[in-house]
Amino acid sequence: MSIEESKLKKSKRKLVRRHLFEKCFKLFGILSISFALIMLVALLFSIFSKGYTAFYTHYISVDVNFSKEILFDGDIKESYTAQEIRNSSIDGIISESLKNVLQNQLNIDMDNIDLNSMLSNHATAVLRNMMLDNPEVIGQTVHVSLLLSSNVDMFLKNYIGAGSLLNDDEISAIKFLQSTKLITSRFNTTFFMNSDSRYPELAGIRGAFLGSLYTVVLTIIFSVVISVGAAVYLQEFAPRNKFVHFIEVNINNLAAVPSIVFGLLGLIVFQQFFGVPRSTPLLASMILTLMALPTIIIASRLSMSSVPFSIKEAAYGMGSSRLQVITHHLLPISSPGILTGVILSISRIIGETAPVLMIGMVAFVSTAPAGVLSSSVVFPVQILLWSNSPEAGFIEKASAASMLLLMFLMFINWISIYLRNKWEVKF
Amino acid sequence: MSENKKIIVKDVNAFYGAKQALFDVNLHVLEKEVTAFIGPSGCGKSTFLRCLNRMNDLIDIFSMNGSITIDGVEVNSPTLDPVELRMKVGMVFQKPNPFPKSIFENVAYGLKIHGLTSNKKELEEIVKDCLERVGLLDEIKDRLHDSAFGLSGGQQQRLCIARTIAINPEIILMDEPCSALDPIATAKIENLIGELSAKYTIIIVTHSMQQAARISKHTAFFHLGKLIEFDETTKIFSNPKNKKTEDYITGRIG
Repeated sequence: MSIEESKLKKSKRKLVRRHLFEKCFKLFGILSISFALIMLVALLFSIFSKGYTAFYTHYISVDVNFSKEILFDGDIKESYTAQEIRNSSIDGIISESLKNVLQNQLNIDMDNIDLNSMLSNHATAVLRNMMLDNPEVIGQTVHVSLLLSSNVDMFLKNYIGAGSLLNDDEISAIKFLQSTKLITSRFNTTFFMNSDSRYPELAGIRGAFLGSLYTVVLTIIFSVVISVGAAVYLQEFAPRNKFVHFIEVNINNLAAVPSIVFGLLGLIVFQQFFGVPRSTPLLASMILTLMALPTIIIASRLSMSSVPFSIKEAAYGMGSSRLQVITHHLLPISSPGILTGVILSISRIIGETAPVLMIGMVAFVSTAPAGVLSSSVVFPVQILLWSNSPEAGFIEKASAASMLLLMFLMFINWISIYLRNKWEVKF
Repeated sequence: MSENKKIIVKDVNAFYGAKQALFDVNLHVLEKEVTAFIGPSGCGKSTFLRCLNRMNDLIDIFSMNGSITIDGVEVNSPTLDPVELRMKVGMVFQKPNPFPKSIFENVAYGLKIHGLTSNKKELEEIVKDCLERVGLLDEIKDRLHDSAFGLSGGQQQRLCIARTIAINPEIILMDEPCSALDPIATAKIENLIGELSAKYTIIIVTHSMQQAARISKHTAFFHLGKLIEFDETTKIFSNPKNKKTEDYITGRIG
């Protein structure tokens, strides 16, 4: 065999190995992507399967007899003062109406059932308001829908079984009410209209949503103004010297600072030194702005430096001033890149928990924030609070809040992709 | 033809950092005439052109000395605003570089930033007039508000010329305006330069000696940062005084 032939053979063998390597590499890539996809699906499935039940809740339709006898303990007269109505025994008429429904069920021991704990506190409030708004109702029988308590709701959604929170008689009663179609499930508007509550069935996401919204909007305003200003200065005006280089390096370092450190900084500098009120969206946004800065500055500078020099040249050649070159050409052309930086950092800060815990946003706030200076919670903290609560009813709420947070993020990302495509300039 | 010296250049030396790019350049440019700068790549002709409207200010390490006067005003005088200078001395670049805006906006841009029109109607008239003068209006009149990037290279370059003449400069600098274009587009631009020279003083940098011969009245030959020869174009091409000029135009250096 000649040397030429053996060389050819060797090269052929090598070619086979090269193709094999390529196949292995491809397979590795496919496996990696499959792994990532499976994890994503598992995450979404676990959140959705636990969370979707929070979007409906159970009501019971019963005839409630506003009996003067029971309400006012035998004090029967033509009309009652508001004070008397407030002090009236509403629990009494609720248990009376439930008893009416259940009275023929011989297998249920009525004495063993805590009838008032079957309904939410909300039911009491609804009945009280009915009497206050419309006193004629007193003494009559009215058909109403009342919110069931979280324990009953949890049982109906199969979260809790017999024995733990409900006794056998209570469970038989619930099953009977269900079979008579008195219990109906409805879309859970409470979850969207209410803020946090001690009672799972009354807890809602509104406060956290508004808190997050205020925080994010303020953060976008602060961080875009500061970052774009910094990026424009560094890119267009700053002299090339060691000090500027030092600043550039430290902007990159800022991106690597752990978020809890920013929380500490915010607590000490903004809250204790400057006296920004604690637990407020304003304070949170100030801290989160610091976290968003480096990402946006870096992205903005990158995108400004990729604006073709010929465009700047053309603008200067037309007699534009420096500021006109920046505002008419540089910023519009680089806006998609700036936007990408904004989105990246905003997506990160929406879910940021540690720094906002530092400034006391973990407090129990049962009212939606009225503005950026009122105490509130944000989405991730609300999820944390609920998943730490012992009541079973909060678990589905935490998952549902996670779902909403994800949707909120997707919505923001969608807007940004749309805007980026719209503004993008192709050269 | 007047013999008015529009630009007078005396002893110009230019540097990029420590590297000297121009050595003792002396010449003058006559008003309403086409002057061509020729020379091999890297000979400093573009650098020199950019000295005339201070475009080199954009380069940090650039410095120059000597004197360049336009209508008797020193270009590098600290009291002269480069914005004002560039209004008077327009520029067309090597690669067509329209703004990423509509065709209309490209031409209207200079008028807008300098506040040269008082109302929308006037603006529209001037824009259309400028497009007409560069022979673009008929070709694109239906897509005046489409992106300028949809135009062909030659059309883009004519758009850039329209954009420049819109602010009515006195001098137009052209830095190899045809080097990125095909022969037909080049011919159109050359005709256009001939027409424009009736109204404007035009200085064109070119690689093509034929182009210089076709369109310019005077030609300056640069080599390695030095102005080797400056004379009437016909003399440069038929009877060069310097050996290097002769070598270049006969294709022996370059």
